[in-house]
Amino acid sequence: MMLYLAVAIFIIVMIVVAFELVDKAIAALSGAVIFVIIGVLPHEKAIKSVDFETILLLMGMMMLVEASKRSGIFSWLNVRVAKITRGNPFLLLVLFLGVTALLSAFLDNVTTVLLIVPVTLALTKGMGLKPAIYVIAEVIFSNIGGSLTLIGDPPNILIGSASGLSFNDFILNLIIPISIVSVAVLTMIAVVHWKEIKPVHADLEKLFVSNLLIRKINYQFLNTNLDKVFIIKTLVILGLVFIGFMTHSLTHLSVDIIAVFFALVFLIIGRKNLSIHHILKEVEWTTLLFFAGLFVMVGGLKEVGFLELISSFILSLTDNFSLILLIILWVSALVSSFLDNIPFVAVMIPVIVNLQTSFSGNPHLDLLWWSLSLGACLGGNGTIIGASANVVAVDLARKEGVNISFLDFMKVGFPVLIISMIICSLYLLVRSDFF
Amino acid sequence: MSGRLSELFRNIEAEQDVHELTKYCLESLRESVNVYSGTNLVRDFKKLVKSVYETEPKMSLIIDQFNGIMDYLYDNCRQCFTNKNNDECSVRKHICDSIDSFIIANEKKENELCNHGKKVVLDGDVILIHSYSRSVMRVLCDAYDEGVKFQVIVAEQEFDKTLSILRLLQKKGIFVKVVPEYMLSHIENDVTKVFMGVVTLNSQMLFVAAAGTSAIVSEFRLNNVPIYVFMSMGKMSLWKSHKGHDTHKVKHKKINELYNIEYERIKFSHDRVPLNYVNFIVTEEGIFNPKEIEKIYWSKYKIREGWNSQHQWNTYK
Repeated sequence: MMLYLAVAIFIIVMIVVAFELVDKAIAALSGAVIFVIIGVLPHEKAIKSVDFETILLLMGMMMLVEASKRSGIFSWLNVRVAKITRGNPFLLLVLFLGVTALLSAFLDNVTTVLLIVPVTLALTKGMGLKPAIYVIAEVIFSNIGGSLTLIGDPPNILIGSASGLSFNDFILNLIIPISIVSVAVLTMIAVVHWKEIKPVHADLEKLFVSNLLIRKINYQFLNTNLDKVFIIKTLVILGLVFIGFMTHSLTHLSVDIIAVFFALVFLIIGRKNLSIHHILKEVEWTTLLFFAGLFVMVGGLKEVGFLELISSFILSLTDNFSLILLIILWVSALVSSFLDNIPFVAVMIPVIVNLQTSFSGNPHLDLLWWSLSLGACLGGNGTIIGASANVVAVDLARKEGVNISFLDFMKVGFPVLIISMIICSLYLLVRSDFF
Repeated sequence: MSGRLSELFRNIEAEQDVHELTKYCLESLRESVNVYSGTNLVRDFKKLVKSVYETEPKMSLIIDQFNGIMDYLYDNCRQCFTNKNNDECSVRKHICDSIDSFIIANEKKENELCNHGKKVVLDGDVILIHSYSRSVMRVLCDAYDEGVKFQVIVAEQEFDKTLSILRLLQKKGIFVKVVPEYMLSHIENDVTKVFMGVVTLNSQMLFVAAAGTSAIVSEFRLNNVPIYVFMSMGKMSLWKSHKGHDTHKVKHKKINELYNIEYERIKFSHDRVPLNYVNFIVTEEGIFNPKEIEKIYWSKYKIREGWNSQHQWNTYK
């Protein structure tokens, strides 16, 4: 009885989140509190089920990103890239996608989109190009880039925290499929939309407008005196965070402690330019509370045995390890293209742990995590509602008079999803069968 | 293309000023010419000059300089206008050389304008300024550097524009007060001079200036406060202008959700200010009164008319 009740409450909460009937934090916390009130899990277990490592890591990264943004370094980078393109639409696409993927590997995808899309819209609109394809491609690459690292996308943060896999493990295991997916997706977009992105070097008027626009954007986005000392401090802190993440398996410091420690150091050494109140104001507390509520609900589902049922169901389908990898990959991708991937991954983590127990002795158990990570992160590319970054980018575009419909996005996003999943499937199969 | 260029010119001019816009245009042209890979640079440059000419409002400084580059090309590389297989490298070099000489000349003219301008800033002056004008800013900064003791009142308009003036003047250490532009009547007795920059002076003897300028000029004119316009001679629009072509109207639907009120909000890109409403016009050639400037305008206009019929490459005919 308790099992059915818990699952029903969880499904109701997910529906409320999916249709944004109330704020997702309120929905998840309400579900968590109801779980405790009706006795799905006791209060102590509810508190213990909250993964504070994930919440601290997210908070630390949000603080670091917000503080770094204030140095103007990201705007500077965007404008530099725009200048390098000299108004060449193809180069503009390639370089901006590269920057998007790189930034989103280390920043969260929504922040990346907020930094890149306004510059892209200003440039493409002014140049008379069709901005929609640029915006969609950037969103897609923010999801692809975010898949590469432990801190790039919330599902990876959850997976990293639950599995104990290091920052380097993520990069080493995901760099091959992500690189191949990037090249394939870029090629596909370039070939299909060549008419809209082909170079304009033979058209003096278009070249002139592009170069003039780049100057305008340079002024518009860098219309503040960049504080060199603050920029140096920002670069040093970001460098140290990166080194800290790369070496955390050697130093035995967890990534959340590294992020929070350097966020605090940044606030101390950058106190002339940074205010703790302003930085904390920009931390997405509702997201963190959503995570807390979600962890309690997943703890409840585990307590009533629902997650073991899912594991048993998957095992009942097949006992072929490679086939299970593909099932996890494709199901994660399809679910994530329509629903929030965070609750899905939160539910799947205990399932993966159960599957690892069932396949103990198999040398490729980690591949279960990679199939979940690749499916959940890249699945967000399928539709406009597949990831928060998609929704934010489309909203930014709409404000600038560029309408991207559900179908417009899906026409590009869904083929990208299929190609990505085929590449990832091949990668997982090769690794499970040959390495 | 001219529509897109018009919008871009208007936006850049509103954010900065027409001098900076002209500099941007020249630099952008040089960069574009350097990467151009088409088959006929002269033909495409002529097309661009025509598009620039068709922009609204007409930025005469830019139009004149683009025409000047064409002149230079025609004088130094006449065969490229007739020969289809002309040497693109040579055309490119001539255009770039001409751009460089214009940039240097513009800088020189601006220095001369500032030298004339700073003579009108006196100890004890309280100077009212409005929109951002590079010439006005330079005059104030130069006068301050020379030890003139004066105050500046900024008529507050859109926050970003006022902020850019404040940042520059405060960085320099010049004492600044800000008064909202609809409350200027309270300080009209304190102000000793009004300084303003303009986009152009057209054939109807109207200055095209930042929105809000007309009301300020009218108000201070009534109180006999001298009004100075800082304008290089190149900003004169030496062609027949048509009423309404030099301002751009933007309509927005505004909704106040709290009180459920929906209304149309109209904003204008520029104001038109009659030449005879101002007292002095400071240029690189000296300081003139409106009558003198009108004479200069028409003499330049006649020269331009002759020039239009002389040049075979002219595409406006």
